[in-house]
Amino acid sequence: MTRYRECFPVVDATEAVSMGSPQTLVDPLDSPLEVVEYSCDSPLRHPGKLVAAMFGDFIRSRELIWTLFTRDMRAQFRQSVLGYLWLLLPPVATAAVWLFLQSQKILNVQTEIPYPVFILVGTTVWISFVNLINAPLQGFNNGKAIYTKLNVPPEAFVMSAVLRAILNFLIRIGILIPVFVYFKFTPPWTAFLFPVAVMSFFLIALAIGLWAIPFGSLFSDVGNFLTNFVRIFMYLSPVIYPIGRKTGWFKAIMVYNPLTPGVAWSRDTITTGSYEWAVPCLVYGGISVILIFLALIFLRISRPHLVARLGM
Amino acid sequence: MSDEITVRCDNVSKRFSRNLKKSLFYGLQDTFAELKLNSVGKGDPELRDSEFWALRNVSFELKRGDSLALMGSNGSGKTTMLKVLNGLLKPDTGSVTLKGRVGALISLGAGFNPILTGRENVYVNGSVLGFSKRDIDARFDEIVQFADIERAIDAPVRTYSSGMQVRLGFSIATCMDPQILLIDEVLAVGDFNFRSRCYGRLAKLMADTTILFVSHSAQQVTRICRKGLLLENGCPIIHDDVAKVILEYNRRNAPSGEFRVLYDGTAQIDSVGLEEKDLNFGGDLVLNLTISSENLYPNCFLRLLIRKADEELVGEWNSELHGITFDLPVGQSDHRFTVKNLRLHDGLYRIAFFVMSEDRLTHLINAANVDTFETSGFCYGGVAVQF
Repeated sequence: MTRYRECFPVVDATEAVSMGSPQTLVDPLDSPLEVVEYSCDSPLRHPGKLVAAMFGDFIRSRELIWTLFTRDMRAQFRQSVLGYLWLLLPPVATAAVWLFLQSQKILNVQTEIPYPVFILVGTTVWISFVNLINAPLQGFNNGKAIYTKLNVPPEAFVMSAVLRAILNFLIRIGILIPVFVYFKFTPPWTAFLFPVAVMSFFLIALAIGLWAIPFGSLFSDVGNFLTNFVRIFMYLSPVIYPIGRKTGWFKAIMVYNPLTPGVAWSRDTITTGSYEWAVPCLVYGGISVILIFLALIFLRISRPHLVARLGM
Repeated sequence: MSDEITVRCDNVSKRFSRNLKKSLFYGLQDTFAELKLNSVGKGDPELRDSEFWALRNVSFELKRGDSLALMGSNGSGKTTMLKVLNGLLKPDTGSVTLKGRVGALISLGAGFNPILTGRENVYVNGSVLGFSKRDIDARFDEIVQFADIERAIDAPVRTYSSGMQVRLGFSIATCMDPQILLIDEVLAVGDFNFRSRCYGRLAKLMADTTILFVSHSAQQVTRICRKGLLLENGCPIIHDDVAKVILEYNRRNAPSGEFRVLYDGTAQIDSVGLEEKDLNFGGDLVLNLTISSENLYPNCFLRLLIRKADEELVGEWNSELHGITFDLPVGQSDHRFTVKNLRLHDGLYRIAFFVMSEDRLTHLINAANVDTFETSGFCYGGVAVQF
C-alpha cells in the first residue's frame, strides 16, 4: 500500500472535501480505503481543508512537475544537432549585439556604469520577468488535453512552465559574467542580495501570471493583452534607459510604476550597490506573495468550472 | 468487504451551455458564486439561457466487484458522468463518493510526447496518472512486456503505429491495480490479440475492482459488465441487468433501417412481413411473402439473414439447406417460410433476405431491413446464438 501514498488522493472517510484533488488526512497503511467526495458545495466552506489540500497537491505532484519539465526540455532540443546549446545561443546573440553597438560608439546614454552592462542587466531581468508573466497561462493551456480528461492537478503544468522560465533566466545571468569580465567591471559586495531583489521582482510576475489563468484560459483576450501591452511597461521602467534627472510627468510615471523598484534594485545590487529601491521592491514582493496565495486558491476553486468549459 | 459501497452517485445533475460565449461567462459566474459561499446549485438550480441538462438526477451505488456499463447514444451524458466521477467536473446538484484508488482508462497515453522514446514516455504518462518513478521502475518490464513493444521501446513514439501507442498506454494505465476503474471506450482499439489480452487483464482486476465502463458496443459491455445504466439526454432511463439495458438501448437507438429492395429480374414484392414480432426463446420465426412475377422462375430458394440491432450478422437460414425450393409462377404467388427453434438471446433483431434463382447466382430479389423482431426468455449469456 505504501507506494500509492504519493500517487492517490487520500481523504478522511468521515469528512467530505468539495472538488479538486482531495487532501491527505489518513495514512492508507492504517485505513484500508481512501474516500473522496465531490459535491456541489463550495470548497470555501472549509477553507482550512482547501488550503491543506492545495499544499498537499503541490507536494504530491512535485515529481510530476519535474517529469513534465524534463520532458519539455528533452523534447525541445532532441531534433537538433546543437541540442542544449540552444539555451545559451539566444542570450549570447543579444549580448553580442549590444557589445557591437558599444564598440561602434553608437550608444551614448549617460549611466553610472558602462551602458552595455546597464542595458544587458536590465533586459535580462526584464525578459525573464515577461516570460514569467506568460509562463503560467501557457503552461496551463499546454496541459489542457490532459487535465480535462484525467484527474491531474493543472498546477503541475503551470509550475513546470515556471521552472522553465526560471532556468532560462539563470542561463541568461550566466552569460552576463563574461560581459562583466570584458568590461573589467567588479560587482559590489551587495551582489549577494541580487537573488533577493530578483525574486521579489519575479514574484510580481508570478502573481500576474497566476491571476491571468482563470480568466485567460476562458478568454484569449487576456493572453493577447499580456503579450502586447506588457512591453509598454518596459519603456515606463528603467530597463534600457535610466530614470531621468529632470522632474516631469514621465519621471513621475517611472517612479510610481510598481515595476520600477524591481528592475532598479535588481540591477543596483550587482552594479552600483545602491539601496534606493530596496524597500519598495521588497514591499511589492511581499504583496505579491499574498496575491499568489489568493490566486492559487482562486484557481483551485475555478478549476472544475474551467474544465467544464475547456474540455472534451 | 464485498458488501461495502465503493461508488455512490447521489442525485447528480450537471448543466452545460450550448453557446460558447455564454458558457465562458457562466464559468466566471459559477466561480464567483463559490466565493460567495453559495453552492453552485443550491437546492435545485435553474437552467440559464442556452443551457441544458447534460446529466439530470443520476443516482446509483456500486459495491466492490460490481461493474456498471454506462450506455446511451452520443451526447447522452456518459462521458460527462465519467468526468464527474473522476473529479474533473463539479456536479450542480448532488454528490459522488468514491472509496478506493481510482484508475482511469481514459485518453490512453496522455502526455506522450511524440519525439521522446517509448521508455521516456512511460515515465511521463505514469507520472500523469499519479505514479511515482519508483512505482514505474518496479513495473517497467511488466509494462513493456504486456504492451509487446520490447524492440521499439527506445524508438521515438512518433514512429509507433497507433495500435502500439494505445497498447503502451493501456499497459501503463492498468499496471497499478486500481480499486475503482473508469473506462471510456478504449477497448475498441488494438489488434485482436491485444484486445483479448486486455480482457484478460480486466478479468483479473474485476473481482476486487469496481468498474464503470462507457461503451456503445453491446459485445464489450456484456463481456465486462453485469449491470447497465442507460442515459438519454442526461436522464437515467433504466438501471438493470446489462442485457435488459442493451435491449432498451437498442429499442431506442437502433438505426431505423429503411426498407430497401433491389430487383434483378422481373419479380417484385407485393407484401412482406413477419407473422409474430415478439418471440420466445426457441420459438418459430414466420415470414410471409407475396411476390408477383412476369416470368416463370422455377426452383428458387430463399436466404434469410438475421442481424442484431447494431447490424452485426447473427446467422442465415437458407431454404435450400432445409430442402425447400419454390417456383415463382407468372402472376402473384404467396409464400410462407418458417425458421424453427430460434435460439436467440434476448434482444432486438432485424431481417433481410434474398430470393435466389436456380442458377444460384442471380438475386431475383434483394431486400434489406425487411422487418424487426424481439426475443425474450433467455438473458444469461452475452452472445446472440445460444445452442
